Amino acid sequence: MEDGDELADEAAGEDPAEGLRAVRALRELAERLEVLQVHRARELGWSWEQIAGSLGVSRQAAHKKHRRL
Amino acid sequence: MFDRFTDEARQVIVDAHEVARELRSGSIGTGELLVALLDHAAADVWLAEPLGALGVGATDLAAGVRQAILAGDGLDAPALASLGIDLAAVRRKADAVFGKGALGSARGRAVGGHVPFTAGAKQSLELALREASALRSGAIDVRHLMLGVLDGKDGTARELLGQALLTSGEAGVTDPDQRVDALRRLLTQLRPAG
Repeated sequence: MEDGDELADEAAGEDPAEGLRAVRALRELAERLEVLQVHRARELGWSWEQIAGSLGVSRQAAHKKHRRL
Repeated sequence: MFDRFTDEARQVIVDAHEVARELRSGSIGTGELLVALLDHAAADVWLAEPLGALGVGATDLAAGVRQAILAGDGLDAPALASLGIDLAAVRRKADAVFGKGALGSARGRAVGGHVPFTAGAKQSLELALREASALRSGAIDVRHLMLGVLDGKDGTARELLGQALLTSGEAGVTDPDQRVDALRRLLTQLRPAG
């Protein structure tokens, strides 16, 4: 694995390619954690209303995105 | 961009789309294109013969590449590290809360209808166009696609094919890179169709 500090320097060097790659990686990670958390919340009996509230999105948006879980 | 593609090459693109869904990749990368090409190879004289250079059947290779794609979970640890995020730590936590391998299995689960091409795949399609011109072929066919995929700058398809060759169990595959090079040479030596 590449050295974290070195990469942080690259990000600070404002290279858009590195910065955008980091954003993409973060988005992918966030998406997956959202899938796992929503799935678990549903299993624990949370309503779409509650889940949407915690995620800061509308009930419709949360349901549309995750209803297949 | 697809107007110069042959019907077979177009079908490969459609199939790559299906492969991306099947593997929950979330996008069509050079790996998904490679699987579609290998699936197609048995029925295509232009691919079947050069692929013989690899010494392993296309069906086995397609299965191997599918496995290799599924094994890599698509999370970019170095890029996350640049933001100060320790992916290994996140993974440990996710394993503990959601069960082992949860982060990998959540891949592409929330993806809706649209499956986009990755930047690498787009580049490979452009390379295929260039290969077709270099080989003086008016149309872009499956050979050009295979060349474009193998020459992709991100190296993903080459790496996946190498892994599939090594795990194929075929005796004597010690240098997969050499075999891929041989495949590349054969693809460029073929005469243009028609």
